[in-house]
Amino acid sequence: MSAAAGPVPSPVPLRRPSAPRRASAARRAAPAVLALLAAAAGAGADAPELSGTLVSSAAASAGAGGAAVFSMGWEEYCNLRLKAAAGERGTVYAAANLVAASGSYLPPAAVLAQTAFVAGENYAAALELERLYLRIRGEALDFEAGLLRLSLGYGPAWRPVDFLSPPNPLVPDARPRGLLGAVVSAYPSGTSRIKAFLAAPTDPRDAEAEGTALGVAGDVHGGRASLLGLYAFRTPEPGYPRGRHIAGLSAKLEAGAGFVLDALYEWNPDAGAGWNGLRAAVGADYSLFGGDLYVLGQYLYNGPGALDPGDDVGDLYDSSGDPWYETAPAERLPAPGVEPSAFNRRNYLLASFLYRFGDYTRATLSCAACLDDLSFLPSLTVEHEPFQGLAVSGTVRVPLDARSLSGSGGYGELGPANSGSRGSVTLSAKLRF
Amino acid sequence: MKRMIVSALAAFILAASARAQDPSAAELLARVDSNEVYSSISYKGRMTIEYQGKRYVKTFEAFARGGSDSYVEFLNPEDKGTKYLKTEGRLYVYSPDSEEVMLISGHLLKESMMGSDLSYEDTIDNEKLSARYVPTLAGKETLEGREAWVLDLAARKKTESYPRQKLWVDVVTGDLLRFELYALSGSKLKEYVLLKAQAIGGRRFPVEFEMRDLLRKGSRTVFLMSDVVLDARVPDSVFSLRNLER
Repeated sequence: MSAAAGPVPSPVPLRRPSAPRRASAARRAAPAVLALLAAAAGAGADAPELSGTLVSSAAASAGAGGAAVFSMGWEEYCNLRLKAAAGERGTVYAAANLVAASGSYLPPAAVLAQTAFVAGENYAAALELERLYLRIRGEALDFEAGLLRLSLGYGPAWRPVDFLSPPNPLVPDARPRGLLGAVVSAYPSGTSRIKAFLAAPTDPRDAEAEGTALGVAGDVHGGRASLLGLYAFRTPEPGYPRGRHIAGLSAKLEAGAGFVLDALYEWNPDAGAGWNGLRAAVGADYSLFGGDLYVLGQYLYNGPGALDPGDDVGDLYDSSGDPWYETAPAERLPAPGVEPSAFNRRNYLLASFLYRFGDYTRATLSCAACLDDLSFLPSLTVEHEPFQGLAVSGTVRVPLDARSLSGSGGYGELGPANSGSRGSVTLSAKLRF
Repeated sequence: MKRMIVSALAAFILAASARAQDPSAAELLARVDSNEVYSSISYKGRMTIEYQGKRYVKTFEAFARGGSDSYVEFLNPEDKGTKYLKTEGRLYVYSPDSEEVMLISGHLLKESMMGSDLSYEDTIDNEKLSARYVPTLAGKETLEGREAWVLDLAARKKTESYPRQKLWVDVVTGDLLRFELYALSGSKLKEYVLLKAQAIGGRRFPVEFEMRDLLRKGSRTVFLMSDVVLDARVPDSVFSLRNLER
């Protein structure tokens, strides 16, 4: 087994990135961000631009694996974005997530106490600083610094090359998490770019710059193909005394259908080379019936996954207490040396079918599958736009594995016991402004 | 008998001389091209989309150059920050939600752009019709009180999105009053109706028109352009990934 970093999947998908937040930092930032956003809203013709989305959600889940038999929650979530010109060449960007939540949308009490949530009667509220950065546009180079988004690669669902803030196809609507760092961009031509970047250490409390990432990525687009190359180095940190070298390649080819390869190799000089360092995804997309049906398929090889194909999913968890499958997911302790992530096994497959019933109604049937233990997470989302700017949607998810289908066999990573849910329903209304 | 022969000859000569004054199909198409095909354009646009009882309004700023480069940035609150760049045959979209530039796969280019009756291909098409189609003069008709030549166009290449087009060209102004786009099967796919043309830079240019995608029953998009500047220099930097990411 090998260690991997990342969040544990939640039975009810959280819309926003779910990393722990420190109360003091967020609370200090909150008044400044709100003041900035309020100033933007009240300004004149050359005013900063304020935009965002407001999402009202309700979710219910039938529990499994030690989770409550039935749980439900409500959430009001707003992503507020600000863009303001600063002189002739500068631009300031800020974004904040405002949340009021209740029930299953809330993190467990142990985590809640350490975050910026303010819990009272009826609801808990939170404010999260999501972006705060500046961009300076030079003659030949652009410079960005702060809490920003650096996007890398072309993978439509899994995108290993985007290693600093990888998208999670199980939570496709989530805003990508930002990173604290700096980026210098050069554009040799209209369709090519080179980015040199620096990202702060993985652990924000670390003052010795351990795990700082430095890298360079370049991509070029031709008539039918696009190619991106990446090299990065993470400075030494515990477990990696000589640091880590990271190389990535992403390619997209237009040949009737769209074909994408997205691969990342992470080399730990102290552990040597091996398949464990490889995370690669290949996929294709195509549309049929005049564009009404959009089909996407993608395979992921997840070398750093904590579980080898023969391992039991229970190997992720500490076995000294109650059986993991009788403990709620949020209360499970990881096994020594293991950091459970969103994807812990080696081989995954994603198939997605989006059908448009018209301009305002569409349905997406998708299924993520873990091929190593034959567990599945099928989901169906129906979305409708009653009027411009508003979208209402309903999503049903039913985790499945061999044990849930036949009553015997092993537990699967995407199955009910591990995810803590036999099935969930989420209803939401999203307003853009 | 002799009088009848003389009359018939006179009628024939008159008809022939009248035909000699008719412009040829190629001349008419060249006139349409000279009015509507630009080396560059910048404008502010407003699309009003009506479909299934709903009405969507989208505003944007657009730049285009030749037949290959175009850049559109949406300004209406619901789509603010969404940008499209077409250059070197590929279409890129910047989404403010994901904060990343996405490549639109080629097979998606025929899809409706932002819910309108125009496809991505329609919006980025600026090549001369005369280079892509063989025209035939099909007669003269009156549209909304305006006399118009009717042209039938057949695609020179099999790869054209619309193998056949039918055009109505104003006899007096040369305005393209109406056109219809047909599939290979002969079925009509789209209809265009000119609502307003303006004299801009010595040419007649359509600044307001209506487009109907007939596969979307009851749908129509009214396209309104303002602050139109034609054939002025647009910097290369507009049509770049850098501009998309700014």
